[in-house]
Amino acid sequence: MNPDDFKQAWQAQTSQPHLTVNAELLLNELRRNQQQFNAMIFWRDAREIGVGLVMIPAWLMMGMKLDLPWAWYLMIPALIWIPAFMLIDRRRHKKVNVPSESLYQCAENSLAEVEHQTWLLRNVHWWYLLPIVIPMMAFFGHLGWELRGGGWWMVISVAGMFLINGIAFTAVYRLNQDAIRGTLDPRRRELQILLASLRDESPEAG
Amino acid sequence: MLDKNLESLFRTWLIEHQGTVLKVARAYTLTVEDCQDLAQEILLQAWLSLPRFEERSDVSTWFYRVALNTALSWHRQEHRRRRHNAAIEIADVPLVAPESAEQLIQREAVERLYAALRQLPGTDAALVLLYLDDLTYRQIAEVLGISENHVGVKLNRAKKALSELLKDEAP
Repeated sequence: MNPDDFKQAWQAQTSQPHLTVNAELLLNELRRNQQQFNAMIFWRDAREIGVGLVMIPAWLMMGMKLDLPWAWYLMIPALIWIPAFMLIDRRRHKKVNVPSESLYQCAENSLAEVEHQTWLLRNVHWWYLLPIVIPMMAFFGHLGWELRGGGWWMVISVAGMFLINGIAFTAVYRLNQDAIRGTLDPRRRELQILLASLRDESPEAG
Repeated sequence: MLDKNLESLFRTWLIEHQGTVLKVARAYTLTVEDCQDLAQEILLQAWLSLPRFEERSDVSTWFYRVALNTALSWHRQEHRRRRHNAAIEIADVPLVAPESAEQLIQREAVERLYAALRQLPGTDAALVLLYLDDLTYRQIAEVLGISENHVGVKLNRAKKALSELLKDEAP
């Protein structure tokens, strides 16, 4: 049998196995799925803004109640910056992948999306970690300086805080880099291969 | 388009194009459960893309685009069936009359084709599927987003790879 004979068999194939679709149930399922997706997007955005909105007054109140030094308030710009950055980035890189586009276009869009996600995670220290860690370190440094008369105990406490901060920073950074290696890099390679196979216009060898 | 219109359009297309959905889902999965999951995912993506459907596009190529894009980005582990519902079932239909020898040969040939398709690289499998369903070069180019000339070159290569696989599997 050559491919054309197989083509004939393919077109003459009886409907075995058969796909049974319960349209009513399926439409309900699709609507539910769409609602869940919309709700997920809404709550994700709400959570990201909400955390900032709750943290800022809480931070201010805590600073005033405990009469903390000015370095405490250096965290406020970070609490505004991080959710604002996430929201603006999401709006700018709104998912544009439309499955009804051509395979090439769809793969290109997916690749752009994966590359942007990779960029975000690779630079997580610039837009997420350092804006938090620097004001925290500044606060502990300032506190240590103000209480410098406290002796060795104070030096050890401040050094401990620096250490905890450093460990947390490294752990979060590594987690993000692992996510790139484990998930995004393989997906990127897959998409690059797919695009290359569509792009390769070299004449048939042999 | 209004929601009601979309819904009735979707129902009509569901009847007309479920064959496409099933063929693509079978070509890119190994088990019946995965096939059902992928078929449902394709229909979900078709439903979500429906409002963006442009009347000037051909419905069958549009369905193929949605189905192939979904199949090629579908990852079994990520889309494990979250709930079992009876919206989509894939099952063998009991035969009312015994199959003729010719029908039996054809059925075996189709099974061999599916087995070979699953071994081809994703884009080659897509090309062969479109070729088997008798789409023109222009339609194939539209689905894949490549030039018509390129379709010819790639299709020849994919057919050659398919022939090799079918030769290897010949009983």
